[in-house]
Amino acid sequence: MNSSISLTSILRLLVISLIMFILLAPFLWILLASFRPNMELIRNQTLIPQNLTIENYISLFAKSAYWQWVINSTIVAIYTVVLSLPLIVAGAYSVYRTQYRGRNVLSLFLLSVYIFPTALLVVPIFKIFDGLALVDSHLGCALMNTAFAVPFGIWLLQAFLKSLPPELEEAAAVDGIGRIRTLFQIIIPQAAPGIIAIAMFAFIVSWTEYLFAMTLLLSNDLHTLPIGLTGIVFGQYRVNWGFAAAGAVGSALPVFILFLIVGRWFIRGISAGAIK
Amino acid sequence: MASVTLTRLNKKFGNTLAVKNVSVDIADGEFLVFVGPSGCGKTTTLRMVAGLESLSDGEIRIGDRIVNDLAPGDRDLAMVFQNYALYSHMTVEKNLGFALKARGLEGDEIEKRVQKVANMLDLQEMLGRKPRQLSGGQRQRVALGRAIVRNPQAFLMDEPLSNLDALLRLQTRKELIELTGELKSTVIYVTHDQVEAMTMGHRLAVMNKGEVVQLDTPENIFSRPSSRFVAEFIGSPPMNFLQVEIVEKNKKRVFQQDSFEVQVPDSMKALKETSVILGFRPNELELVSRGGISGTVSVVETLGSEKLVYLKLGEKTISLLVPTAEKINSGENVRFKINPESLHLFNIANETRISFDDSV
Amino acid sequence: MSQQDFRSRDSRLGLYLVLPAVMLVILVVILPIISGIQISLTSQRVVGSEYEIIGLKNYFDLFKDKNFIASLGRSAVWVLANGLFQTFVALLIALLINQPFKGQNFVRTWIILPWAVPAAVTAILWRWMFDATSGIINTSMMRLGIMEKPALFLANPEIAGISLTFVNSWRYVPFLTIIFLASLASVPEEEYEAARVDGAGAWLQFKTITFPNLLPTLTVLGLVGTLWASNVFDIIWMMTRGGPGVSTTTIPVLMYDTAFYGYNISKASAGAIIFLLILIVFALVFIFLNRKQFIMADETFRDLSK
Repeated sequence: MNSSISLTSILRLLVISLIMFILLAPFLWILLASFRPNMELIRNQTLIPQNLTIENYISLFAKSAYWQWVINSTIVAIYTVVLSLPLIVAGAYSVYRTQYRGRNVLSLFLLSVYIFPTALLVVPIFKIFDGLALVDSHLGCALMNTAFAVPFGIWLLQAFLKSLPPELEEAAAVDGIGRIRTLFQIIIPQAAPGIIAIAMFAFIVSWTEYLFAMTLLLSNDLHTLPIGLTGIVFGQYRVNWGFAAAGAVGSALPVFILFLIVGRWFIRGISAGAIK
Repeated sequence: MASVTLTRLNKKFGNTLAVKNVSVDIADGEFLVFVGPSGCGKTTTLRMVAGLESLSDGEIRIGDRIVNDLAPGDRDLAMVFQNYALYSHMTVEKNLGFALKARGLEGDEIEKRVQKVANMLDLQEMLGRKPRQLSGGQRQRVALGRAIVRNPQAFLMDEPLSNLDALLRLQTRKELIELTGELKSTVIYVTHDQVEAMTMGHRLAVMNKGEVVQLDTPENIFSRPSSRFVAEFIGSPPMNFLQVEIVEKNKKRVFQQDSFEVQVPDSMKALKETSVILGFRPNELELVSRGGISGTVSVVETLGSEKLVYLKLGEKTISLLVPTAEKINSGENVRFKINPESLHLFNIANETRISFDDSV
Repeated sequence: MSQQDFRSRDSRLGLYLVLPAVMLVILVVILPIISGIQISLTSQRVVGSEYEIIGLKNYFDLFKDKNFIASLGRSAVWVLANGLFQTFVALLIALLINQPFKGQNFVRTWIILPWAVPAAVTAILWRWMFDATSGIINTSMMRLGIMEKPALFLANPEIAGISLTFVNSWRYVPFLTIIFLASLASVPEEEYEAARVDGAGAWLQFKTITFPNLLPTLTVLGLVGTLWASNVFDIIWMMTRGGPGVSTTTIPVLMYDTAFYGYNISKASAGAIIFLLILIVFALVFIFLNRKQFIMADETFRDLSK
């Protein structure tokens, strides 16, 4: 590796820094803004804050239903991950490691989930879920999230499964180890990084979901974070930007913490064994 | 252990026939090696025996059971893969015992067998470690151990030594021979390395382009190769080949090609052909100071205890082995002679062996 | 036992494994489609209200509705702008990040943050940054003298769509980039090394090694990415509600608005069905043209039960 600093590498670093700046600076900015009083944000145009305050956070944590929203979002996310994981693992294994007629057609069929405009789905889903008593329930939301996470999750996991050497399963077959035991005791442990990645994927899909949470969750005390927050922030005539900023930080924080802990597993898990 | 009988095995991939009419009877306790160049069908044949490839035609028997339609796990075979295929997330101990556990053996029985195999292969200290903490040679032993612990009716081995470095390979070869001899195992072994095949097998099945071209003991294959292909493939350094005419000279028949001239021995007087392909091994040539055939030295390779000398005869090049002490340099003219009885004759049209006695 | 038994045993397991996912998809997609078609053929205005069957009237009305046609046009522009732009940019960034550099791990982990945070956060973030009076973009531009008057990023009908495209890309490009990165990482390093030794320059390496290896991923993302883009709802709704006026009213926005604010779910369903049919045609053509890339499962994978 050439360790001399060439013009191209400086240029590359500059471009990458610019991109990262565009992507991440808004977060820093909103973090800063959340510590400034609302009045200052509206009137005062300065970059450097004049006053720092935590009044926005007090409004968020103590005077709004923030914690309830967080709990609700977490419940839905956990349901989603718990439902998605078996479906994704089973689906990925089925489509990519077993043989049967129509396998290709099925894998394409699963992708059809994305073809249907969610706006269309809203009304009929409401009717159907109503019949199944899933309206106004966290489980109903989780079910929809699962449906959206599973097809792409299967596609993500398949690359990882493909990187596993076929000899593993062949050795197990010759040794007389049944398919199911092979799946659980050999394939799944070997695919652990990939499985962590899709669990994170399902979690994020659930955490960010807006449309169906808005449609299906009628009672206020079931609202997830995006719904609750935007309800207050955009529900008024004049936006309280200080509160909105705090709310945004409060909503981004759980994801941020998640990435601090398991972030590097995500890219590792969806790279087919190259980063080993 | 049991015998394994392959009868007219065929395997088609699309329109290509990868395995053609392979029929081999492997006796109980025999170490049989399938050897041949890449793509000759040896691995496919092995995989068919294992049940990892389906048969297009033919029959496979283990003992007296026909196993064509049995799943790999029901054939009571154990396989050692080239890449070992160890379960990297399990310890060595778990790797060894996993198949036994899956088959429902009791914990004590499993432990007993695992310990026995670990002792056999000197793996006792590694039992608690994971594969990634082991060296290549150690991993190979675990792969072997995993097969032995199953007490199968036969072992299938797919180039298990290829991933080891040269020195380790030699060592492990010896150990494998000893081990399988002790266990009186039936082994079907696949390799592309003819030296490995020659030293390990009780019998060799030499394969080329999907067919078994010769099935015999290493000695017989070496001394009486059934075709030019086998003659060239087996033996190192490889055999020399020269196309010659048979002409009359002074009322005697000779094999002749440019400056090459060797008398046709009495044992071959039944020879009817007018031109044949001659084969002779580099070690069967002798340097002489007078007479014989002359050639110009082009390259001299030092092999250690011997030198391999490449000689140009007109436009053809042949090789001969001489002791290192012999002083030979490139560009020199040397003379050599061959014992006519040691010549191998091959038919020009189909390159099969021309023989003059009752055996083959 | 015959040879057939074992192939079918293997395929039975395979089918059972994928069955739950398929059933979920049927529940969440097929049933609603059928229901949606049913609703669209009626005059129902609100869930649970009375209605009569009116056949294809909703459809005919929509085809004559200038608003609807305009929305279709806006959706088309939106998909082109978002789909193509995002894929292209994501690929470039992935190529850029793929070579090792100082901070590569940091970038690879955190670049995806914009996609991972809830859409609500994104909406708040950018609505504030775009704000005409107190938004950072306007205030700093004006402070630096680049602009005299604040740009009405979200209030100006002409640039609202562009602003939203930027925000949507800000959100999705990192995700696409990560997927491309994963795909790039699976190309064996030796191929590049061999090419370098042979004297191939960067462009040739890309053409002969990178691109062919990337093609399957590129194709799948092309399809799925387009579908996702066409169905974007949350960002648009939260930031402009389709406005100002109707300048950012794509089909999903229009349909939602018609259904829940115009109190006409049957008309909305009809509009959505039309949109769905367009997308189906697109998807089928796309898949057909790229069918080789969609053979996702390894056809030559050995069957282990024989």
